[in-house]
Order: sequence, then C-alpha cells, then structure tokens
Amino acid sequence: MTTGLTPTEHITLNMGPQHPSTHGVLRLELELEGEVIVACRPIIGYLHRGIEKMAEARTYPQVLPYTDRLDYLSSSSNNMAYVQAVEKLLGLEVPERAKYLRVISLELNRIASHLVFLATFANDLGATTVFLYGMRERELIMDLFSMWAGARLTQSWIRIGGVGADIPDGFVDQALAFCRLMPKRLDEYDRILTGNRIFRARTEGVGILPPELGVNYGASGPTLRGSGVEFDVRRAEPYEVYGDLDFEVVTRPTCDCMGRYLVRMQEMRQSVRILEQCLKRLPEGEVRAKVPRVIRPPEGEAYGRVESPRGEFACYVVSDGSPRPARVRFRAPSFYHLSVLPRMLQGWKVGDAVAILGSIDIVLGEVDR
Amino acid sequence: MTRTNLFVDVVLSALSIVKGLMVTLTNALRPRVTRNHPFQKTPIPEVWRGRLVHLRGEDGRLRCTACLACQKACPSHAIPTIQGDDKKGKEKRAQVYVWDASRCLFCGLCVEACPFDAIRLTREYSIVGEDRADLIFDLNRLLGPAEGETA
Ligand code: SF4
Ligand code: SF4
Repeated sequence: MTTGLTPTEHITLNMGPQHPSTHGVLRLELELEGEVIVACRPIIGYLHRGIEKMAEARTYPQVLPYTDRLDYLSSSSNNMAYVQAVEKLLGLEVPERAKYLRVISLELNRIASHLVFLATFANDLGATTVFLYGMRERELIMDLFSMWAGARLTQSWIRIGGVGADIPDGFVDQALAFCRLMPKRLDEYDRILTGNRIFRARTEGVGILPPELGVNYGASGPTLRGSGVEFDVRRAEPYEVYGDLDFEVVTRPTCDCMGRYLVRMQEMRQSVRILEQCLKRLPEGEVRAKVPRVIRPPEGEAYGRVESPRGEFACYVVSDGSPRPARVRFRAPSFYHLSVLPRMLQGWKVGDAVAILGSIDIVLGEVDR
Repeated sequence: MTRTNLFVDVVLSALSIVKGLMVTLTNALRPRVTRNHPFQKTPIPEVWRGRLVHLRGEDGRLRCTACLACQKACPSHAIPTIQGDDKKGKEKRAQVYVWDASRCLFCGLCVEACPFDAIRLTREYSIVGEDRADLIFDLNRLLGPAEGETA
C-alpha cells in the first residue's frame, strides 16, 4: 500500500502574513522536511503604497511626511536620509544647533526602535514581561517627542534646512533624566533576559550569518555588526555632528541571534552616551536655515545615507530643476536582511525561524515602501 | 554531559530565573505607569498635531482669506475645497473650507504655509465618525473651539 507520502517529501508551510511574529505583513513560504527548514521564500509587498512613485508627484517639502511612513519605528532616520540628499542638492548649510537637535532626535529614535526590538524579540521567545518593560521605557521617549514635535511616531520633524521647531522648555532636563534612568533599566533587562537559560538556549549559536555572506548580501547595521564587521555609517561617513561625538561602534564576533541582540543592547547604552554629550553641548542659535518657499534644486542627483536602527538607510534623489523630484529611491536595510534570511534559516527548525526573523529586526514599512 | 556538569547547569539555570524574578518583584513594587483610559485622560502637550481648527481674529471674523496657500502646501489633498467671498485682498474671507480628516497626515505643513496664522492643529486626537462623511469637516465644524482650547 502506498500512502503517497514518503519520508523525503517536503511540506510547504506559510508563515504569515498574519503571524504575530512576522513584524508586519510578511509571508514566509517555508519548505519543510519534518521540522527542518530546507528552503524559505519571503513574499513581500503586502504593505506596498507606492511611496517612491508618489514622491514624484509631490514637491520637495511635501515628500517629507511620506518618508515617516517607511520605517515607522524610527521616522527620524528616514527624514534624515531624504533631507540630507535634498540639502546636498541645494548646497544648504544647516545651523549648528539644528545639527545637534537632529542627532538628539535620531538617537532617541534609535533607542525607541531598539526597545521595540527588545520587546518583540523577547515576546516572540516567550518572555512577555520584557515586552511590557520595553514598551514602558519607550513611552518616555514618545513623551519627549510629543512635547517637541507634537506627534509620537510620524514626527516629520527633521525638515529641509533644520528641524521643525526648537525644543520646548524642560525638554533638556526631561531628556537628561531619561539618560540617567535608561542604563539602570538596561541592567534590569540584562538580569531578567540576557542571562536567562531558556533565552540563551534559543539564541546562542542559532541563525548563523557568516560575515562574508552578510557583506555580499548587503546587510548592515546591528545585523552585520553581530557578525563582527565593524561598519557603521555614523563612523564611516559621519553626518551632522557624529564626527565630533565620542561613541563606540559595538560589534560581536558570534554571528548568531545572541550576538545581534547584544549589539543592540550595547548600542542603546552608546546612544545614551551620545544623547548626554549632545544635550550638554547644545549650542544656542537658529534651528532652521533660510529656505525658499518653493524649493527648486538645480539639476543633478544626490545620495544621502544614514545609520538607521536597522542599518544603512539611504535615499537617492534626482532633480530635473523643477519643484518636484524626478526620482526618489530609498535603500531600505530591512530589504537586504530579508533577502539573506533564507540562507540563515536553512537547516534550522520552524521554532527557530521566529528567533532568527526576530533577530534581524525588520520593518515591513520600509521593505514594501 | 557528566553528572556534575548537569548539576552545575541546573543550579545556574535556576539562579538565572531567580535573578529574573527579583527584577519582576522590584517592578511590581514600583508605582504604576499605566492610566485607566478612557476614564483617566492622558495629558496632551500643547504642540500636539491633532484636529484642524480655524481661528478668528479680534473682530470675531475668520482670519482665513482663502489664499489657497495651505491647499498648495498639503501633500495629500486633504483640503480639497476653499472658496472666498467676493471681496478683494486682505478683506476677503473664506466661505467654504473643507478639510478631510481621513486624508490628513497631520504633518502641519498647512499651518506652516498659512501667512495669516488662520489655522491650527489642536490637541484633539480622537477623531471618529460613523461613516466617511463624518470625517469631512466643513467650515462650521472647523470653527467650534476644540476640546480644551480657547479658539
Ligand atoms: S496637516 Fe498636512 S496633510 Fe493635513 S491638511 Fe495640513 S498639510 Fe494637509
Ligand atoms: S487657512 Fe491660511 S493658507 Fe489656507 S486659505 Fe486660509 S489664509 Fe490661506
């Protein structure tokens, strides 16, 4: 009697698009042999809004609010990449105070984004308590953003020529208080999660990303630094005031989920360090350069790149001399991480897929655009 | 794994869990950070970018002169219609002004563009309606002083 099933027959399993640990609407088509993943095909596009095309029909300032909606967990870095490209086209010099404020905004966003990573990663692996703690601390950052920009996620506050507005009274004190609190809370996370036996068993040695493979696939950010490659746009090509600031580029040689997790945990401490320096050194002055009402950059093209919490986020803008960009293209780090994911998943069990997917910290908003 | 190794592993694992439980315990004793929404309102900062309102000048008239600057600045065509009366220049006032909350990105570009300081985004963040039409605001609904604001 034949059942039609032989032990070597593969099963296809859809993970997503509604799976809670796919961090947005992503579908992973897994090909399984028993419980082992032999192949994986990420299927994207569920969140496609055509932002790049929409940008061609908007004036330069009008494109900005749309960039918030790419990587919605750290809208500042998206704003920054776009604004950087446009400012290069215009040859615009930004006031010193605005540069510092931009870095403050970027680093606050980095901590907020890494906290979401910590929260969801822990939650995916069963540590729901840490999820609540991560969200609790993130709320402090959201409070800072609401009092400054009047919005929590979609701030659009890094504007062409500077920032939207100066920080309100009390912002510096509140931010410094946050900087004092955060390292203590990070110690707590370490105590509850990093040393935990179950968490370690699920992350150590799991989902290896060899450094050469990562580089070949265009991985960047904590995902690549977790494989020991010291690459950080803030260091490689400093923008704003990063060149004057004192911080470390954190790397881990282990190439596994734990390595990537530890890089992000350490990066939050480094971000706190950067924040403290910026808040103390904040110069007086204008926060926005004079920008003409209608922005018409000369013909040409420019590339702006920043280190977003996920990796190298970049924006390429082509101008044809009209008030609307001829082409806007975004380089979203998550897209490259998603393309290397099938290689990382091969040979691991379905249960590990959640850990590995969580450890590359993707945001589908920027993948699908 | 040898017996001693296994024993050490079990003890260390148990210790790591005890350590974690200490963290949960300290957190359980901290004051609570959540609010009982909707009975307890979260304080919203003054600069919040919520529902759009039209302001009036000291003479009680609308400040808006139907100059269309906000409409041109809006990235998502959330201000589809503005019509003024038949007066000219600074005397002109808006008679029809439509703001579509369902299209609005709450970016504030319209407020920045307005040369007469005639519109503002307020602290009212909860904009709900039973159907789409409820989210399209005409001048009458844009005038009412928003919650917690003196227009
Ligand atoms: S806030 Fe932005 S999207 Fe909304 S009406 Fe104003 S310009 Fe348009
Ligand atoms: S709200 Fe301001 S910008 Fe818009 S039409 Fe009225 S006066 Fe002009």
